[in-house]
Amino acid sequence: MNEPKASGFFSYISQAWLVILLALVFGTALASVELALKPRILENKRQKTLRQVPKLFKQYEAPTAEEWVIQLDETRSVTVLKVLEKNQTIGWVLPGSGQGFADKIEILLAVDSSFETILGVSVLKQSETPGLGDYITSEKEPFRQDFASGLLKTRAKVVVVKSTDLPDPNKNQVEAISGATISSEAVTKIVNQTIQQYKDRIKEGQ
Amino acid sequence: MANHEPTASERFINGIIPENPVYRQLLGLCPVLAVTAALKPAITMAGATAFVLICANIIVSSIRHLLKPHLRILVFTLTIATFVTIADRFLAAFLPNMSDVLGPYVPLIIVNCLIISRCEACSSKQGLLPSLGDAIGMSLGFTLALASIAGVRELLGKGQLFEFTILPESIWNGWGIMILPPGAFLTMGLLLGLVEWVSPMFKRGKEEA
Repeated sequence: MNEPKASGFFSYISQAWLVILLALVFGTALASVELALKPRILENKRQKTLRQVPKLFKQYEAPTAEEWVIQLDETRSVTVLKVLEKNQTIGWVLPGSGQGFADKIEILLAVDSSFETILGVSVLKQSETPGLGDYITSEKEPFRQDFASGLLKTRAKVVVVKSTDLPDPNKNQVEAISGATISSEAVTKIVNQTIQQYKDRIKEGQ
Repeated sequence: MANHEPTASERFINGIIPENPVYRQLLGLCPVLAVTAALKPAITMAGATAFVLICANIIVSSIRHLLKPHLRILVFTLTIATFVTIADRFLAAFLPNMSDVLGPYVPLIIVNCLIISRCEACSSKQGLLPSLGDAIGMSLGFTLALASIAGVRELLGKGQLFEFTILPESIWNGWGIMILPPGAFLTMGLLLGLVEWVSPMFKRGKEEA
């Protein structure tokens, strides 16, 4: 070729202009998609959380939820749900998350209004092993029924026990899912952390 | 190899059976093994992949004369990643349940070698029409493969198809292993063998006719 060899900046631009241009165009496109869809995605997540409330407060007829924003520190805040029936506070629904066997697990934890008793756990997001660890999402599992038994207390840590040892919810024990001890322990750990995280904040902010 | 470039319709037909991305080229096996425990997620995954493949083929084909050879893979990846992110956001916004089920496998379409191989083999060399035909054909082939594996696994594993019970529990107990990862390998291996066994018969039939 007879072209004089461009040097430095111009050679860089002549090689890479298409990549730079595409990056700009695609970047703009992605930003607009994100802007357009973000409210809807957040709303989906909110609805999903709200749908869990009746499942977590089964013994009540028509629990309603109010959103409360709790300031964790100066920059971070979380939304928790205050659950009411006939204008009476019957409990709280708290979001929690942590590492599971495969990926992050997101749960909702229900506690009673005085923050003493655990009322139930529901799993919002998980990627545990299908057929084993993903039973954490099944309400029929003894593991989940132990959490919903209303016997577990918040003052002590919840402990996972393998079923051969006859777990006793009165002693804050839950039965491990067979074949998925790590997933069971992960959920329990998240529950314990979530209790610690909100214990004082909720009691103060009643 | 002849120098003749395949036309749009040849590309289209090739993608479905003769060069089926899964059964013939063994490409994009990650979603084939990972999301085929049931039909619904498998079809959603096939749809998302089809969207990305068609869009990427259109873009790459229309800028193919501007590509610098040593930067082409970079451009392919950039294009694919953009459309995958768009597909991921749309799923999260409009099909939140499927988005939860598919989880990380939607962003992982970026590294589905089926898409980059079509960019490299077809759309960076041929015009818009053959590229489009290729993308649609390959997408159909991919959908067919995912659906066949997912159908077998859901039916044998749960006795259901599209979550409708076909075999009630009284006659079919469900082979739990079909839902688990080994079921994916077993089904894929057996179906792959079946396709290998059946397709020569078809070829012979054609030659005799």
